[in-house]
Amino acid sequence: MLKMMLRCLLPALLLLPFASFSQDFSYSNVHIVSVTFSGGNLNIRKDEGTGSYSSPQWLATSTTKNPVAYVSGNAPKAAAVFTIDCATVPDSVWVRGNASDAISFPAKHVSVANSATTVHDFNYPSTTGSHVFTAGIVRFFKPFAIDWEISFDNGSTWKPIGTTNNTIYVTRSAPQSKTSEFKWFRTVYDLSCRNAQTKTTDADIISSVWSEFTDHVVLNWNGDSLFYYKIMNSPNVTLATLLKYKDAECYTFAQLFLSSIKIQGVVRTNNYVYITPQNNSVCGHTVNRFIVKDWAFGTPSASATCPGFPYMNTYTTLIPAPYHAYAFTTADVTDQAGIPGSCNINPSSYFNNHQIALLDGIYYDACYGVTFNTLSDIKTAAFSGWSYRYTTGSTTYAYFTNDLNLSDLTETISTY
Amino acid sequence: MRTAFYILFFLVTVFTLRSQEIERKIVIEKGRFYYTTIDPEQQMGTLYTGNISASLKTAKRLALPAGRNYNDPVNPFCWDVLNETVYAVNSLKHPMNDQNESLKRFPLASLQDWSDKVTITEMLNKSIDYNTFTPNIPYAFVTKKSKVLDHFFYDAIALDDTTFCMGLTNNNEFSFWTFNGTGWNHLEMTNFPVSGYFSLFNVKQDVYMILDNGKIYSVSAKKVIPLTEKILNTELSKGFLIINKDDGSVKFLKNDQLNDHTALNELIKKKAIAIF
Repeated sequence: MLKMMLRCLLPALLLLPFASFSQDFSYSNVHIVSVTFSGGNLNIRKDEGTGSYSSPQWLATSTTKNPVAYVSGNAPKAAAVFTIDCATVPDSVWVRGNASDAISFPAKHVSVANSATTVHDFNYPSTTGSHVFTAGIVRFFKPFAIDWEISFDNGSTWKPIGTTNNTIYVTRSAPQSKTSEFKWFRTVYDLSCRNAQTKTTDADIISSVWSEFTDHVVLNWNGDSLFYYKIMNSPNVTLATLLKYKDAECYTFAQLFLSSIKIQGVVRTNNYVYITPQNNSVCGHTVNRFIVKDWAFGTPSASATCPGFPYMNTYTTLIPAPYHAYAFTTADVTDQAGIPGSCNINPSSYFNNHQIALLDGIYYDACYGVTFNTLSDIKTAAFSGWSYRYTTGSTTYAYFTNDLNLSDLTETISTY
Repeated sequence: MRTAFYILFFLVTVFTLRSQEIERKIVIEKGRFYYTTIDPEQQMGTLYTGNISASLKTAKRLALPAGRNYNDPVNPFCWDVLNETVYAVNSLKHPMNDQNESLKRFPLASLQDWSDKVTITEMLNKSIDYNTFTPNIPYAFVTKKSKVLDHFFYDAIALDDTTFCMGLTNNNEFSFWTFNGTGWNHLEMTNFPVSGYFSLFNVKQDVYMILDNGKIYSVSAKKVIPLTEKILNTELSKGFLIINKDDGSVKFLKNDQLNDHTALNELIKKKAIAIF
């Protein structure tokens, strides 16, 4: 027992002079436990579909830190919890934080809680930052860092405790209201604020957000690719399922683009366009399919059946497992690599309909990252041909033409 | 421990039913009930059926090769059951699903239980190439009249084996369509604003429409007449209709009155509000 006491006493005696003169005992025994942001921060839904991010947004015990979002013109508000592991502690200490964007969380005199052990808690109260995020400007802090400091001598000297990092999204204006389709997902904030950072006008925000789509690499908040038809029969048609499964149909990319505009408070009605062949009749059927570049047209086998649509393919299951190619039983027309989509060099390309966005008179096709000035521009720029089909028994007969004059697109417009 | 188990069981049961809500109505025909739900992620429909003297939780689940989209505002799944046949407007969003071919008719006996072999993917593929029983002329008419969709709602019912009715609203206009097996007749009304979805139902061969605000109209290919004495004192979206084709009654049950452990006929007797 005596030996043990001596072993503890010796290092303590050696360290005593330093602590006495510099008050610089080991600050590593002061720990940040959590940081909670408040003050009108916006709800952020998890892409995984498991609800919204909660507070505290920063927890020492969690490897991932939750994001935070504010509308510009508001100041962040933060509270923090700390512990100090020390046999003898003062009744109170001073704490402050210096954060990104030159925002400071002012020094506060806080009590150190009594404890039966050597570990004592103290809390930095919920405090508004020194200034607001400049009104009317999109900001993106990845990370928004707060350097926390402590003082034992009424603020004469400050020592660093540690840094907390959270992603903070600042939207230009209040986001548009959530609907059953438009929800405030993390990737919506991230994609929007990442691209439109420092932008102020509707036009600049729209063009900046659009830039995410033009290189065919659309990424979620975590840097993961969002695929346009990773599997050719992806059933995912909603923003929620695109973000959850990272693979979806055309509907969802239009929705992601429009959501990333709406999250900044940009208002545009009649912005969601559904395009489909105009259903004109040929050979006793209606034209209700189109094929997106490129398709190779071989020798027509159905000229006698329908001279205008002389190419015929047949199938029983169009896209069988593992869902990476069309499986025609017979084929005059075959799919080729053509126009790439998001994260996919040869996505599905045989459709009845397609969904795009319409903003200020421009058609934005978010899956392919291209724009069109008129509806008629789409078929000439993107289509290889038209098709109709019917099913008899278990076989579907599809007829094709590469004469783009034999049909046209029609549109219906709604507000997303 | 036992109490905790019962609480958990109750919550799971309630959550399961609530997470996939009944679409529009329960139909009762030949002593059996039918209702539908829509998969919350993949749009596909499920038809539930069971004996009217049994509870809803005992229903058999049949995969429908049809479903509905999640557009906002929501237009619930349009479906009906008549004489062993299921009718549906297959409005699901899919790049191969043609809205002009969305009117479908399936023999009840052809529907299969959901299983490892009857999957969402398979039913989705089946739905897009399943032949329509007649082109959706009402949809084509409305979208040709105005390419802008605003307050676009619709419903459809089968009156008999050859008569199929459809009602649509868009841009404050209403049209009612009757298909007699060979062609369509229709009625158009301007200045007919609606704020949410409506449902059609029939009492024998008479067709009625109930709006989201509870107002009820008599509808035919010739005229639309408001029934001032028939106003449901609740919003349509707060519950669902119960169309009993056996006794000709039409009732309404609020969602919060739904109890899937009680025999349906008992539940109707105790909780449902009579409309007809």
